[in-house]
Amino acid sequence: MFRILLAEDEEHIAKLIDYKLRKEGLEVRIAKNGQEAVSALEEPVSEQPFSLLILDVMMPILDGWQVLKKLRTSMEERKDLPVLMLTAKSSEMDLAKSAELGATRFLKKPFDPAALHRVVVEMLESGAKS
Amino acid sequence: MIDWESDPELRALRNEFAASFPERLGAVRSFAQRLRGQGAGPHPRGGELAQELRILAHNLAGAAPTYGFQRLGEIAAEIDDRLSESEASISADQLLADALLLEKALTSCVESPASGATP
Repeated sequence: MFRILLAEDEEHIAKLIDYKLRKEGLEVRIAKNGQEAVSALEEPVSEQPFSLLILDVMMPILDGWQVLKKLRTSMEERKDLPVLMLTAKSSEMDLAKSAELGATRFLKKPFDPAALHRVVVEMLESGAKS
Repeated sequence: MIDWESDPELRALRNEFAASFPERLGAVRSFAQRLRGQGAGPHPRGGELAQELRILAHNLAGAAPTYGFQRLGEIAAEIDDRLSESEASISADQLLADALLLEKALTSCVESPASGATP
């Protein structure tokens, strides 16, 4: 089973994504802010073999960009983890910053949960590990 | 398009989101109350206050339209965008105007949840 780490501070968005992905047979762990996401990513890969990180940008404590930068530059075992940036931010500058830091795909809020599921499946099929 | 009515769990999630409106409204009202009468000049804590209101608006801008509350989401997104570009010298009156806009939109949804929802 694929395991997904979801970093999202808005609990109602997190619950909706969790429900949709669980219903489709995926396992989801929710991090309520950037620091919780980093803590989950720092756990041993053998215990938390995440196949995908869904990452909100605007979060308390550490924002999504800080998490992404840490993942790509200082987490050797996780540095190639596919990252889907899920964000209300969509300006060219924000998208460019996300791409520069190593985001794999983007999805803008508000989103259709079915569209989110499609993107997640595409990303998992194109290289994530089960 | 999500069919909220055909899936009991989805319907429960949507109801749970709608049930969060009174608490969000209380936070916006409390924020507005602190700004009343503070004037049109640059506020010494303008940047900090703008960020506080922006977080309230930003969370609604993402969640409300996802749950079908389009109008509320549009207003929240306008405020989120405006505050993301605001200067630290923003005035209390400018912040109050945005807080009152959000308060009005949330009040409509609390009084009549269907009013902010997509038909």
